[in-house]
Amino acid sequence: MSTYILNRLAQAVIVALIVSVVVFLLVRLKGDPIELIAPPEFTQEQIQGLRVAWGLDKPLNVQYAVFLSRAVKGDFGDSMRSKRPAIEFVLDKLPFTFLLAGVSAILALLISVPLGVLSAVRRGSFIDLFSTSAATVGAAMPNFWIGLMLILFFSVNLRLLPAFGSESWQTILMPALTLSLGVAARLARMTRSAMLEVLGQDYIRTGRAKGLADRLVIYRHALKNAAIPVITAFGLQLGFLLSGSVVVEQVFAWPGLGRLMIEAIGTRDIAIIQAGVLWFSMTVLAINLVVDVVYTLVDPRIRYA
Amino acid sequence: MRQRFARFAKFSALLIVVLIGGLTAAPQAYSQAPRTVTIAHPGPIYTMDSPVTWFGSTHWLTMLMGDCLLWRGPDLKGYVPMLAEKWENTAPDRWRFTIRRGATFHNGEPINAETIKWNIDRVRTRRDFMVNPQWQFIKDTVAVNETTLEVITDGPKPYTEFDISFNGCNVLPPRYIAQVGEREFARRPIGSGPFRLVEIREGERYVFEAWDGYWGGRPRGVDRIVYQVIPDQATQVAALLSGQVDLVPNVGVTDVGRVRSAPNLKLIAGSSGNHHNLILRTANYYGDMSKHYPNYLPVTVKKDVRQAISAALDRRVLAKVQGFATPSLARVTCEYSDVPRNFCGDKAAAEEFNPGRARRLLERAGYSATNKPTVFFDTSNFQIGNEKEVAEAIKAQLEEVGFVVNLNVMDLASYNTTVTRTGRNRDLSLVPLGGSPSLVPLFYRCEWPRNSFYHACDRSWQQVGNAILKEMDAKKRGELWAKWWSFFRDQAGTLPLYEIQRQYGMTQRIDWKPRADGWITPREITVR
Repeated sequence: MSTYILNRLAQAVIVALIVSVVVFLLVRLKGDPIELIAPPEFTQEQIQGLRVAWGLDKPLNVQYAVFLSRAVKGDFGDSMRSKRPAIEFVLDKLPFTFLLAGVSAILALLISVPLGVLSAVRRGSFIDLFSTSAATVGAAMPNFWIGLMLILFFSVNLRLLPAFGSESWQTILMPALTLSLGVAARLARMTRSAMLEVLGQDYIRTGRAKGLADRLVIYRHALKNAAIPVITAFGLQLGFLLSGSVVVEQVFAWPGLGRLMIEAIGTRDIAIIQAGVLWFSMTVLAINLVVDVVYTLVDPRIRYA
Repeated sequence: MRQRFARFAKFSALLIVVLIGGLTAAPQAYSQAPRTVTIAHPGPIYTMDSPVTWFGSTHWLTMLMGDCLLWRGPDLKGYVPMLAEKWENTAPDRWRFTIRRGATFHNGEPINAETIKWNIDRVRTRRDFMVNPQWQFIKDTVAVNETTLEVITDGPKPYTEFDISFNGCNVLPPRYIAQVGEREFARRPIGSGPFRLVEIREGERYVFEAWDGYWGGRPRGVDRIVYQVIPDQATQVAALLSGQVDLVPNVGVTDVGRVRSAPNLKLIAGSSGNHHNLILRTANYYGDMSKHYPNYLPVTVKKDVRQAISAALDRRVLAKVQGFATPSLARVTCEYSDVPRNFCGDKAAAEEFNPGRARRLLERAGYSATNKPTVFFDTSNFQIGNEKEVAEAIKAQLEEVGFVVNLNVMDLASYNTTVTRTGRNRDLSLVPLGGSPSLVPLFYRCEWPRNSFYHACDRSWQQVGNAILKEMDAKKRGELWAKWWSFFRDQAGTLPLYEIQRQYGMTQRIDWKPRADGWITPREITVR
């Protein structure tokens, strides 16, 4: 078990290094960052002065070495727009994104798993038809559109929920619902198909033949075995929840990391972009690691493989 | 089965109770105090240390809590005193400011000539501040006594008043900054203006309260101004329609009807301070166009072709396509007295629009019906207006007089990084630009950075521009401006199309008049 986790950790470190190189190069691929942010009346001398001040006059390999050596200590440099440490901005916003993604994940699970199980158990019924149609529609609708429709309905027409911000607990309802619908739709479909496959297995028929209660057959034997592909999908969807939050945070003015990233990209603040993308990536890596560990708990075959 | 149903029913009931509780409690979260005004702000706001940033929209906030020495009048026709009670130009390169007695910062720290000197020296010497180049015209400052400050410029500078009342002009407290440090100050600033920052949720919400200790007295129209950061324009409008904000600075064309028909809302038009300009390539040596399109010679390097393009455009139609705009041939807002009247409005646009002349100019440049000039035209799909639709209308108007137009509509980020910031634009590009009379002559001279997406090098024009920036006599400067604008029109490298107007959406309970330069500094806002 510990070897398995250590292997996964080693892989995560390699992936993190690759991500750091990609992020570092991508923000520079767009051109000289100073040329991109300097106000129009800056002369070439002034631009060069800024380049030296921000260490961007050095060769790329030297810049990367400096970046990496500082990044491992949590120092991503100062934001060019505010002259404050980029990590301060990222750490300020990260809890909001985690909160939004967490609530969305719980909502998605609460919607999708019962719907998927019910749909599989009552295959061909009205509930099945309803849930598969809803899942298709949910998966097809873009986040920002769902968000705007919810705002129009709940904020403008009914005047029940705030359209923006994070000041009260009500503010998270619409962004979380928006973010969770797509994920719930995909998970519901996945749960349904996994359940259908398991429900057709011999041991389920045996269990039923032995007179086990439906509830036991479905929840103890079928759902547990159907959970592995669902956990895989859920792990992947958690990454989607984080990346999807970029759009949702923008629509609902939710002060999270996604919105910070959009602003930083718009203002070409490379320190914040680098810090934000790396934190996003690290989070996704951590989630994948946790999902891998959960596999081993659910399915001993993986542990001993 | 019955047990399962009971559990399901319990869960559903709990969910419904939570939801109803949440929904009914929600309105309290955004109910308004009677004399509070909430303004939607598009963000981002990274700092409250005003000289650090170039962003105009950050200065909307810093202007609430920080006074400058003096301030541009709302109609751009003059200047109003702030911390300087009066000022005079004692020599071509010297300005004497008399500092207001008794003014203090919000913490009681006194303001005197030394304070102002510290502020000007800070912004003019700190190369890492984005606004630093604007302040480099100041050579030195001398605090003559408690209330007298001398500012020495590097030669005669007629636009000194304008430049010292621009980005980064807010007077900050030296002692307080020394005490808490610059980083902390940027998060928890104090100032000398009529409003104090009393609550901050960084990047999200900034609450200002009227200050009793202001030298001009406590603001009478409003007690509290809240800037709420809402990046998405549609959400801003939804917040206005649902009564969660009082003022939205830019209602999009598609939402104007909804705001106009809402019973408690009103729309007020005001300048955005921005123009849409068609940028024509005048040579192939600037920017990195030649690197990407080796041997490509744009047809617009011929002046006749550039003038033909200008004559082919009906700016009145383009302004309508934009939605809310006033036709203009000038690169800066027509409210400035330095802009000739015959460059502004429908009449100017009607006089310039001459398809017959456009065809004749093309013939003179060597083109005909069988040998049509081809232009490559880049634009973003959306930036501050209907760029894509305007570009399509321009394409149609140019094709009408004999151009072949290859229109390339790009996403804004790609457009900025691959076209405007790198100078990769070929014949035409559509760009929104702001500007002021003190800056614009700098943009049209041979020393202008070559990596730009536009460049003009005409020594005679440059001489006129340089003379404008040194001429202290207003009448003589006016004559120079007339010459400068004729060069601008004749060169036709930048073709202003119209001045973009903002539609301010606001609740009926507030009164506020927008400034002519598009800055939103609502010190004078009044709640009825």
